[in-house]
Amino acid sequence: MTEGTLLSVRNLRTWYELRKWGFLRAGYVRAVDGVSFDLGRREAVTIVGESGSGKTTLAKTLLGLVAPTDGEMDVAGRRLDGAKGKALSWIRSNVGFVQQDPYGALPPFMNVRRILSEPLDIHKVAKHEREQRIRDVLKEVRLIPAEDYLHKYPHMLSGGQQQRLVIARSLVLDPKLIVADEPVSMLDASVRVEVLQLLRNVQEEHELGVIYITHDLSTVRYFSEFAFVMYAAKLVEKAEVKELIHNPLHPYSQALLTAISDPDAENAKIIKEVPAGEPPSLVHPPPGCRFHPRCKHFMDGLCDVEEPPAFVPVSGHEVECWLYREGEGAQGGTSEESA
Amino acid sequence: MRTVVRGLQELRRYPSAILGLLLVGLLVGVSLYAVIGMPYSEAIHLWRAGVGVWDEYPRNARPVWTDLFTRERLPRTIVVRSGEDGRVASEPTEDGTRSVEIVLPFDFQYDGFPREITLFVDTQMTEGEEVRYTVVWRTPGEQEMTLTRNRRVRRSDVYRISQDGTVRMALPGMPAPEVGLLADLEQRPGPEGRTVVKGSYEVLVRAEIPADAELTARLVVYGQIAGLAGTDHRRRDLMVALLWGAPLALAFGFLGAVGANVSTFVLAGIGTWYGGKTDSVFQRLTELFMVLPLLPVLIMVGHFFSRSLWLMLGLIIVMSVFSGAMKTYRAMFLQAREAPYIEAAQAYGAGNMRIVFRYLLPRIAPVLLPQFVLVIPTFVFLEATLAVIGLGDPVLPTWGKVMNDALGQGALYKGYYYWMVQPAVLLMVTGFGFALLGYSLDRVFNPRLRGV
Repeated sequence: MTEGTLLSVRNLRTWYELRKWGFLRAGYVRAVDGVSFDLGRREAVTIVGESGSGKTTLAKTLLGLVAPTDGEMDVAGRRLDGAKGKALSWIRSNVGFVQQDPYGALPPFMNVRRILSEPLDIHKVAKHEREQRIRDVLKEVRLIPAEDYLHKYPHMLSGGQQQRLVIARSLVLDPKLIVADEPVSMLDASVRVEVLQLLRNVQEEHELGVIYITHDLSTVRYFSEFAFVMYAAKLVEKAEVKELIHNPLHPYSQALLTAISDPDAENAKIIKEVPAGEPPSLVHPPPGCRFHPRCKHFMDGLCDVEEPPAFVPVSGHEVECWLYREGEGAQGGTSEESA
Repeated sequence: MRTVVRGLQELRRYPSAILGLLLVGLLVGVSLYAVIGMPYSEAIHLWRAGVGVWDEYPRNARPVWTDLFTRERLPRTIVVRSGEDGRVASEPTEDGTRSVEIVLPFDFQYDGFPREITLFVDTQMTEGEEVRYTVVWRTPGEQEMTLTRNRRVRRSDVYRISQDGTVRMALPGMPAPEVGLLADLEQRPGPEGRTVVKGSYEVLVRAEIPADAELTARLVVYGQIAGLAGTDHRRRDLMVALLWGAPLALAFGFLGAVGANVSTFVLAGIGTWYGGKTDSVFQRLTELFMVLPLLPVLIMVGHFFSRSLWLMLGLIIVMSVFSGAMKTYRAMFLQAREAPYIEAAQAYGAGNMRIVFRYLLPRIAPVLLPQFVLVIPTFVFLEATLAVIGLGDPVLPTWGKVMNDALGQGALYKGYYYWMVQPAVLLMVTGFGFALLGYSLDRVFNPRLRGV
């Protein structure tokens, strides 16, 4: 791990046990199955994936809310998996969490001041500092003037304001990393961009690492440098955002990009090519490449037998797909697709 | 907290809530009045009715307000003391003693006969000596009748005129001395019974006492009505029990509700949050206590161990903590525990206890409040039930104890309705007040019932 790395995840697995008759194991839900990535300081990364791909479990694992089954996680050089006591407390104060449903994420019986002082109280921030911290973060999320908001309860705020309050709460402990799990998917389209830009500004100002988890590729470009595509508990493609949007390599990424809706009247006439079938069961994932049952480039005897390792056909662009194995010609598949 | 405050403000919209609040407020006021006006030790002293405490109260007298509903004026108790209204005449005799005559006059203007007539005689003289005294009854018509002659007294004597067989014999045709002494002897008893001769009566106490001795006498003509609540078979003023019953009932109900309902709530929250073994233990205990019958266990403990009110309360709480309410609360907590803000709280480092007490319990607290209010009268009734079946605290003046006495003395059979009805009405008012308040609170805090 280099000096500039904030978060390093190696071969992370989070499996949920399925029980039958109380003690007999019926199997596991492999919600996160072998995920590795690095995140530098001041870097934002988007993880894109559809429902049930394991995004949220990944977020919860990174936050320490779910214990990983296997693998390693380090934040700023501190071991995250299996952390207890002080180490866990350090992680709690240094990793912020922004949830999907802003109203649900705020205790309805606490006012803004209580909501923001709770984390400070837990981490024993001195009393005189608290008020200043609360005002600072409210200012940062543009809930100003603070006096107007301190005594309000969550139901008195609009959706956008609620989400900004959630962001303020995640910032109040001055964290190094923020995990945002679908922070805008429950907001009106009109305030999505605003909230995302706010998050981006905060990230740049405080030099935070941000992991932005979404199912909506269209919001990715507002946000991050990097984007990871998650499919069936694995990160199948990692690239810079521009590279991913203009040159998606994995057949699944290509399908996702095609599916982005675009308010253009012409689109009504185009029938988009969407991969048939559904995401696979995470209890019994398909052998080999997990996308192979839906892939139009399916290669019999390869894709359904062996799991593809990460190939780097273009510098800085990793993809787990047999199309890009050595000798096959890195550009081959791509040109074919873009044609 | 906010929902609770807002809900309480909303209560004003319900007239039933106002009435309930008034009733509960009244009970609380009565309790405060009782506790401040009559300290605990005094109340216990009065209720245990030691010698001399209730001398001047009639047995089983109706409350004074019943006089308002009768055509006749019912007699009240008259007390005449030799040192106050009585006249004392004393002159020395030749043999060095004193001859004393105490005149105890009283004006009897009632339409009914007294319940009893008793003369209390006290002496102050050298130990071992005794005095003999004579009692003479003088009617308004200046007729005199000697009730007793040369009755002995050492230090003090209680001469129950109503029970004196000689007097009874001397008044033929009269049902009892207290009737015969005041009745119009000339009159033939008509269908309405005998009439009282109204006017000034006098009781004369004559004695020869040593020169240095003192003799005092006190005449009590017991009425048929006494006190605002009447008296019981031990001459105790029932007001003591009715007043002191209120704080005891409220304390029992409140402590019971806190002990059983609030702790059930908290334990359900803890069990649900920690899950696993904690939850399993709580659930199995609940299932066990749900099938254990409360009353038989209490009866057993009451008979073999102790009938102290507070022991009973403790036992009831222990047996009600893991009650059916545990299941109800658990169901609510299971839902509340999945709220995203609890996950968020975990993510910013809230500990388990903090999550339970600051995030989980406040969410369900609005449901607890009406439950809590509604459960108070059930404990009040339970206390009364225990008292009525004979498991009441032997010392404390509670409503249930009064009803138990009334039942034991056949109050309803003998027509002493006030004895049974007064504590019963108070119990009903308590139940009614808390029920009105509780159901209104339920309507305010339970969204499903709102606007129905």
